[in-house]
Amino acid sequence: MRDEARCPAVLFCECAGMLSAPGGDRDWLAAALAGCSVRQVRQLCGGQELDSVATWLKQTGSDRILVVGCHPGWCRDWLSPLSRRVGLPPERFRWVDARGELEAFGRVPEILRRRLERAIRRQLALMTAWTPPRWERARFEPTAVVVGAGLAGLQTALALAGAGLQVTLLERQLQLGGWLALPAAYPAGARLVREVAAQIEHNPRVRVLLGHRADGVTGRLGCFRVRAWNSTGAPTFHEASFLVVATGFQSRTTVPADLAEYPQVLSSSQLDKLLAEPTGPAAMGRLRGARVAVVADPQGTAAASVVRGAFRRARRLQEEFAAEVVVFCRHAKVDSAGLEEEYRDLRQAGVTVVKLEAGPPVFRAADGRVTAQVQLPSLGFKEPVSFWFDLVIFAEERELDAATRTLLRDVGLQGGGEYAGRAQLHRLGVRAGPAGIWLVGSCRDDLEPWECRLDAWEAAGDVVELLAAGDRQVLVTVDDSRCARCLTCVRVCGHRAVQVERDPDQERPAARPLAAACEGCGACVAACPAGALELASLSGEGLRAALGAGNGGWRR
Amino acid sequence: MVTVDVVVLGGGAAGLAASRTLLGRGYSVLLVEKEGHTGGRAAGYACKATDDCQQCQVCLVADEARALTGADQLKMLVFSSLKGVQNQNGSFQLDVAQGPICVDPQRCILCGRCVDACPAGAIRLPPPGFPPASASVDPEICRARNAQTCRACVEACPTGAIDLQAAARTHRVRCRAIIVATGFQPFDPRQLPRLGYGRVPGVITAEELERRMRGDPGGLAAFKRVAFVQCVGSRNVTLGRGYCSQVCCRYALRLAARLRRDDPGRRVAIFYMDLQVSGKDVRMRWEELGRGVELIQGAPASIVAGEAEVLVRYEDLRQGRVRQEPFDLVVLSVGMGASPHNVELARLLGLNLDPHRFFATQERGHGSTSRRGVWVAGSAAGPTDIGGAIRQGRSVALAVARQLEDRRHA
Ligand SMILES: Cc1cc2nc3c(=O)[nH]c(=O)nc-3n(C[C@H](O)[C@H](O)[C@H](O)COP(=O)(O)OP(=O)(O)OC[C@H]3O[C@@H](n4cnc5c(N)ncnc54)[C@H](O)[C@@H]3O)c2cc1C
Repeated sequence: MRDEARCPAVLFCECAGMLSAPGGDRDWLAAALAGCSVRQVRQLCGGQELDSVATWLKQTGSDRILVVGCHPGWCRDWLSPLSRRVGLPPERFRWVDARGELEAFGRVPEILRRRLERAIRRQLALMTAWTPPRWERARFEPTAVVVGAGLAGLQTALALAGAGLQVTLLERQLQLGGWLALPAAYPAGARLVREVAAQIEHNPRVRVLLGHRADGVTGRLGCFRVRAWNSTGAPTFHEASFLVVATGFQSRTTVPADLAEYPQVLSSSQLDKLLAEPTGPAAMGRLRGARVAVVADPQGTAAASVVRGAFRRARRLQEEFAAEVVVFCRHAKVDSAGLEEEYRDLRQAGVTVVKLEAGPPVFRAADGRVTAQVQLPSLGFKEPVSFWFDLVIFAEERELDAATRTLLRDVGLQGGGEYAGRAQLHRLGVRAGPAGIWLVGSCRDDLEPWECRLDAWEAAGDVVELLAAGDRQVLVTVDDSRCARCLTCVRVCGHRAVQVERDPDQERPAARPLAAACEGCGACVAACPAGALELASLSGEGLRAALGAGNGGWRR
Repeated sequence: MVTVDVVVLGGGAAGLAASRTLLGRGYSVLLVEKEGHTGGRAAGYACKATDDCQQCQVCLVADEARALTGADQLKMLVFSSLKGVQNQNGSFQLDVAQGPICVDPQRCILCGRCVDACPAGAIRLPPPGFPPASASVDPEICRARNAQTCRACVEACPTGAIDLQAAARTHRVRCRAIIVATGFQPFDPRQLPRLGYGRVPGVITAEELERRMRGDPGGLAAFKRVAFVQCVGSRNVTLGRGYCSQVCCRYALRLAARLRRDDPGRRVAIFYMDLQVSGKDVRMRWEELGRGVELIQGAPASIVAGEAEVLVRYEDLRQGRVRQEPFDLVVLSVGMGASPHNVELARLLGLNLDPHRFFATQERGHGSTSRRGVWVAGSAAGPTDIGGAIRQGRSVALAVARQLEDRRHA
């Protein structure tokens, strides 16, 4: 009988009764509300049925009430009068804005369904949670592993250390800085990365491990274990509560196979090598006064940074070597502040930008020169136009490297293609699907250096928020009869979800899972030497049973 | 005198995100909003989902707003703006002027009867989910038209929430940090008469399309041929707007996809200079967009009224002659510009503006300004999309929290 009294009562206001319309399929709703007493109310928003609703609520004997209704000011505003009549404190009432969702997503039943289901399940879970009145904060030391020491990785490590975490920074190369450490690529970025690296070196909370290539990870939030190969080829393992992937990208040459052997054809990194020693005879001889073609993003699908890099190189060739430069691209991608000016200056400096309309130019190499055939109907040419060049540069495009792909696959993220993480709608761009993992910098999207830093601050902020414990779902239960009161769980929990409770009748303090902060990672369950902890899944019966048996649940 | 930790100016995506983060960290916040409700520009925009979510991010603003309901450390002043600032050794004393609040938010139940009753159209309900949950009376429209003789709304209100005699007030506020998140102003295409906006029926801005699509998507059914014109008020040096607004290609492509989904037989064309889509966006959208939507390179020369249609004149470079094509609806993809009030606000707060009159920050994306304790977030600092505004709001809030903590320890 008592258990029944505990099941939540759900009030559906008529304004949300429209829910039955879209899609027709209400199985999900029935599943989400399994075990609840449900009542449809004609107009809770109007407050007309308040008395009969209160009577019904008293009859069900329920002590937790979920209202599925409309937005603030309507259904929600009746919660406090209702709580007075039923004699339950307002915290026992929760509310889902079904009507707001319906107005925004009713057109797309699939999205509406997903959002409502998530909201309802979440609220029900929260209601079953018990917020502790007087627990002490346990002391524990959260840690993080950051993979990759490019600008994003360095900045994240620094920000996390600033927030009080112990950070291990794994870098495959023997120096910090990633791509931006190559000054030819982007001098301003190189300066930035030097500054951040200098701060890292003096930070006692960051342990930097160079020559460590990470390619595997096990575990979950609170207890990740990352495998990295050190420079002697031996595996090393690094444990942490949180994982940040900041592995950037590797470049992929776009030089067509049939041109690869010609000395007149270079990929952009080969050009960068030449530019790095500009006074050397090789660079001078080949670049001064030459006719140069730069091919970037011929299909329009490459990252904006590819086009941007091509522009920067073109400008340098033009200005420092008096070269005559033509850039071939599908779109001039300038969509970031400041790039419009760069693009304008480029053209004013005398670089020709040819926008491709029908795929890449057709190149042919002969007699120390390369000829290009380009279709340019929009400039009035019916036939392909011919150009000749001394040198053709193909801008490299980007992809994830193999180690990053296996690393991501291990945690269930899609690791193929150019960018890490599936396209998923998250409030935060940097939070990966599985809890406790963040993707920052250019491994996750096409970003400017300053955006990489923003990613870093954001990921660090998110970690801090998680540690400060938001309201989340109940998942762990303690069997008091088995608990040895060793408090191992308190120490291993990565997000302060297991805390210490002192009971005057007991000699030693007990561990209590803090429902609101638990992410369900299971770290404590795995660590408990007495096997007293259990992870309850959120699926209806199992959870309720677990809550009934253990102490992680609702108490009156 | 109100005392809070942080004052956030502007309740758009950036301001909401900043407030939420600060409240989460235990700081008290006063949100000052110029309009009658929070949410900013994007509160009126449409979800652009087709059969799938298109990740236009518009719903993220509502999520930020909803997260604020019930926060007891939050105070909110609507119809308010900053009038004076004094710096007193490390803290600020602000004067905030608030227009008359004619509807008591405690009593309003958002039934909308006042809206129906008002003969002047001066009363509006907030879009669902954006606090404060209260109707608002625009005093300018109401009083000017009715000289205080009309009481239609007062009589219609079932809860007696309306008081038309309410007076304007000034609040004195003390705070320790200020976040400027006052947003942007879309370009007014009347400055480009050749595009026909305001003269040719059937020429609208993308913002108007967003509103109509949100409010009444069915009403768009009559438009079988729709053209988008990109870079209206962006990348135009002669107008002093020589920058890319960064959002227009993305929203136009998504709006186009939504229009085609609502009516697959519809013709949708986009006139563009360069398509500014990159990164994950390209991977997700390029192929399907290529299929359904006509992409035409080149900006139209002029837009004129036809008999029952809108005629777009453009140079068809492929065929080397000027062509004219009929459309039912022409959407001008207006760019993002600085708000005209930035000059005054910068003077009050002692901030610098960049050449395009956005607030200058010391570092891109970070939001600190030349004035200690004053921060900038979101599109007030330059064009950015909703995700960008939210991210900036959050990271600025965290930086502010750090600064406040440092001082607490000191
Ligand atoms: C037509 C159009 C379509 C768009 N579509 C999309 C899209 O699909 N996806 C996307 O991500 N982005 C889109 N954007 C961009 C999006 O609108 C902005 O990124 C977003 O609104 C920026 O939020 P914000 O908080 O910086 O500014 P705003 O939304 O402008 O909010 C600023 C707030 O501050 C208030 N305010 C102003 N001055 C003051 C003052 N002095 N005192 C107090 N308060 C003040 C304003 O009233 C407003 O509430 C679109 C833009 C346009 C023009």
